[in-house]
Amino acid sequence: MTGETSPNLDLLLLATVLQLELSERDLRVTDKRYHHLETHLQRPESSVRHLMGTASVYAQGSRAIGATIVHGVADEDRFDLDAVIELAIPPLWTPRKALDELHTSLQGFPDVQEIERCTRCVQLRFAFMHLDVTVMRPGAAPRPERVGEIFHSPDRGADETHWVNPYGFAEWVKARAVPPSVSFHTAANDLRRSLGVADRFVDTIPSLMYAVRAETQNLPAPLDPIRDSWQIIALKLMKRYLNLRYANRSEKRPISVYLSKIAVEVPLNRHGICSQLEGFAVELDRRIAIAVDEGCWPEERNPVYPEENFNDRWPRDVAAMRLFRDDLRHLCGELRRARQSAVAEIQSIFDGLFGERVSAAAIRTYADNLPSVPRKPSYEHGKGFVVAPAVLRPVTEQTTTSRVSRAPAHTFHPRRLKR
Amino acid sequence: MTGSRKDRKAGVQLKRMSNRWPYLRPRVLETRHILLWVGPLRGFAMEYQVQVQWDFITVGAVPVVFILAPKIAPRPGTDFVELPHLLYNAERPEESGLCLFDPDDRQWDGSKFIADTIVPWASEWLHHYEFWQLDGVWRGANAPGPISVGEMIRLEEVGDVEGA
Repeated sequence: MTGETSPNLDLLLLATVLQLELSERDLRVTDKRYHHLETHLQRPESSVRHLMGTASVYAQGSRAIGATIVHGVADEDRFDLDAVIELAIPPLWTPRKALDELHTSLQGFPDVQEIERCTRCVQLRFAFMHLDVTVMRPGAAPRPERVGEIFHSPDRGADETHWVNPYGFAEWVKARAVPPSVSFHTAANDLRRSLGVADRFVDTIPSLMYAVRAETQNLPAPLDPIRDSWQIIALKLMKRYLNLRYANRSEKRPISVYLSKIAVEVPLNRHGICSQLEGFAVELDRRIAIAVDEGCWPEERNPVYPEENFNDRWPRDVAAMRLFRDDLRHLCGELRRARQSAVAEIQSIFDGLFGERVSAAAIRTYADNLPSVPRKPSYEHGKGFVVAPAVLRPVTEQTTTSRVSRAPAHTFHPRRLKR
Repeated sequence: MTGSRKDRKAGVQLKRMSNRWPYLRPRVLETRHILLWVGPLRGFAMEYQVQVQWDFITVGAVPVVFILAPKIAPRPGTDFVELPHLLYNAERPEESGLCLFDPDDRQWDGSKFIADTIVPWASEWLHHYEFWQLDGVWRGANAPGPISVGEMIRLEEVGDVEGA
């Protein structure tokens, strides 16, 4: 089915993804908290203050590639932001000490409810938001751009360091993701504006408490068109789906960086968002099937820094891979069923895939945006009515696989059949 | 509706239909001078089997679209007469066609291509029908007046509709 257009279903998938975004105000609060990291770590009582002179802060993970979604499991509208802080950690500091010192120095951060020292980062927990701060020791010169060592210090077991390059990976993803066409990006923004996404975050950090400095990189612009790339949209839908599938399981979910890499290795599918998501699921399934069948562990590596293995913590065993394959097949089966169902049944299918609250809001958004005044309806030749022709144009106005025309404006009208 | 010198001939309509809707297969019922096109047409996402029926001899005859499968149906607890924008067949309501334009506004005449008007409008009707099934709200553009024959009958009973 990855070769069939389904533009109205695609528009509903877009409306679904938009439910998972933050409001513009919440994005601004996120920015303030992120920028406040540097200020906070420079306080006199900060034990890493003396290292801040050459520090550098930047986003990593989903925020760096426009793929952030609210976690949304069990009505928890949690949103994660991952930041890297490069510090010239003294050679004698162990991973445990580096993480402990960062943990101590972040105490008293405004609005924070809890601060946890995790195995590889320090997590600042706010209402509706987690800010994960990973400390990195920059590599020695000559240094490939932003390569460095991060620290792993579990409660039990030996400390470790890992060489990574999250910045390089994010740049690679952004270069590889196909940007949306102007008309699709405009349609997405129009839909976004009509949503009225609720503000979630409490903000007590005065605007003047932080100043953007050269050492702290600005977060990627929240309106970066990359977030409307079909590959990134498929990634966000996959993450949402997996969040729900793994919510009540003890097994670990496949990690985002692994999913992100494969999401952009799947070529743009010009048949639509649903086809893009199906193609993504099929490709993940294919790779895992090879690993299971041939007994070779998945080993997706950072393409700009191959020393970094994205599969170092997932999967743990063959059972984890089989479970993942079952989920991927379930997703494909349900999307196939959605293509052959009426809206009422599609809502039920989406309830199961993306959550009832999100799916109901997506249907409402779609329906509320249907024009009720006469206008020239668009239609795809050989197929039928299209609410938003822009969803058939992934890259440029000319890249659609379908021919779309407009019928004359009309109004529906009831009549009795005359014999 | 009266015919005009611009009425499209059957051959022209057939050619346009095969170009724009190649999966709608044409068939002629010669004894009744009726052209049928039968095949798939999308609603929201799923396809319906539809039949477009047109009397190609009678000047000014209006094409009518029937939904063959899956059958359209009223919402639970209501009757066919409440389905929005039907060409309502009182004797066999389940065989009602779709009413896709306002004849008073001359939105269709024989000069128009069926492929460019009636068929896309029918697809749009199916799209809105699915949402109407979901929540009872018809979101398509309505001609002034009632949206169903049931509503029309109720208004006639209180004398609010002239010539309905």
